Amino acid sequence: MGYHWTKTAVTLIAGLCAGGFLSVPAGADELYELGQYLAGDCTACHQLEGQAPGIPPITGWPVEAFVMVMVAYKEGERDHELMQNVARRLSEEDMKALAVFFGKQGQ
Amino acid sequence: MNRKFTRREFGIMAGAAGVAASALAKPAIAQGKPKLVVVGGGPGGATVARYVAKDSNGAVDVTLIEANARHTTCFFSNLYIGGLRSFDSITHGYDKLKSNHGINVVRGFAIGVDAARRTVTVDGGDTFSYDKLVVAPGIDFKFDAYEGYSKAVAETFPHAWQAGPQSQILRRQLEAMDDGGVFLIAAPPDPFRCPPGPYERISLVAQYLKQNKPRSKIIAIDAKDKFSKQALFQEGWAKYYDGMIEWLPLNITGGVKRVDVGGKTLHTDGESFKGDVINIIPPQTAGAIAIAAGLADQSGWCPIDPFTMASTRVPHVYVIGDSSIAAQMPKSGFSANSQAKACALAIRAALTGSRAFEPRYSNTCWSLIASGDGVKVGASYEATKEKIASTDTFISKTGEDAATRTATAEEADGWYAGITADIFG
Repeated sequence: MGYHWTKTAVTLIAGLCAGGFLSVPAGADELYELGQYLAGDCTACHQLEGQAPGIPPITGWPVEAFVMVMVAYKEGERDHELMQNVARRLSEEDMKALAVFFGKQGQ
Repeated sequence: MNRKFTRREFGIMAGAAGVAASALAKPAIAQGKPKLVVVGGGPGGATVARYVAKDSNGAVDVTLIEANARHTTCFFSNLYIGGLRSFDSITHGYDKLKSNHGINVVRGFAIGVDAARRTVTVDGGDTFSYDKLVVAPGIDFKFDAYEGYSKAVAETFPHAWQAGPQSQILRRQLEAMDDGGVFLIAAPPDPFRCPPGPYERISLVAQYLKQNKPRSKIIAIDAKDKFSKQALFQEGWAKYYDGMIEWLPLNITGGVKRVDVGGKTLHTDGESFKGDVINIIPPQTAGAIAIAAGLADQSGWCPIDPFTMASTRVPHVYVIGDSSIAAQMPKSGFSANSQAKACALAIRAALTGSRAFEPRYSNTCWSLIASGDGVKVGASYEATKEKIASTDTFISKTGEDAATRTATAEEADGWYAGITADIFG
């Protein structure tokens, strides 16, 4: 993907792991439900099943990879105005929620 | 699931209304599954029906009332009119909403809402009771806006602003037009469906004419002095269609005043413009059922609670998509789809007690200036007490390189596949 891990992304991922998030977090249902709602912003373009040229698939990714990419968009290190716009309003929890939701799709 | 009301049930409901109208005013939740009725099967209505059915896992009885057997999307209909897409490729059925999500899809045209009894009546007389109602009828037209213009005239001078047979009329007229003819388009005043749409249409008709009837001209009489993505379109028109397009802002012509069908002429205060193909996109209002149901205010559009899309005028009714006053969100299929998801969340929370989150809205409008030359504008929005407010925007740049524009055009195609899957299942 030609992407370099940023210091922020690494810190964030480390934080996620240290917080036990990548195992079974407290409030997992709520996080999934938040992800399910926020995902509506993504599924206007990205398909849950199948894909089309021009819009990459985002299902079934490892949670940390998903979060890392969203952080890169948010910080403007990954180039795409629309995705940067999407990412800028996502909190860390939002990104986790989306990662968990999409991670469970298409499996 | 997927059940239809029987005549006997109608009889029972009618009888109950006779003896105990007050009882009917209470939600039917205690008597079984809560009922959501959605009027209109476009990007807003089909999405809200699908999301409530899907995310409630069958806990809500969802009925979708739609006048047509299939829906032709207004977005991408300019690609059909310009010869880049087939009609079938922009037309979608409701089979998956029925089979995958158990939605009761009813073919009918909603003609009335009884807010006290919480019922919707369709032409033919069938009545559907609801706990919550979503009204998503899109737009209607002000056919009395210009002298000599009417719904009947729109069969000759199509608006093609509700996609379907109207788009087919316009396409056939363009195909039949002689080389050297004039395509005359009247663009509407704000607010209207799809702000960049008239200008994408001008672009793709220009491409069709340049390739097939290169001596032809396009004249646009606008009811505005500026328009969406104006710098991008005008740069593209100069690049691809130099000398073919004449765009006339309001401050030059004063706008269309009179329509002469026999003379194939549009009159402004001081001038007359003759066209071989005439496309009048008239001023617009909320869909007829929204107005009949008392959901619209004096502006002709429907005020809503920015957090839920609930009508501020009629309880237990929500208005999404083009008919709503979503403030800074443009009237677009993307906006309607985004509003539908926030609305679905609010409705599920109200009917089933599921979790509600702060609504997030977004919109992106892609437009083609030519084949393989796409541009886009978009924004994120949040609900405030006063309105749905824009928080962060972006737009394509003039002078972008060809690779960027090609990628944007491909992205638009991918978006079309994605959003239609999201709407229709």
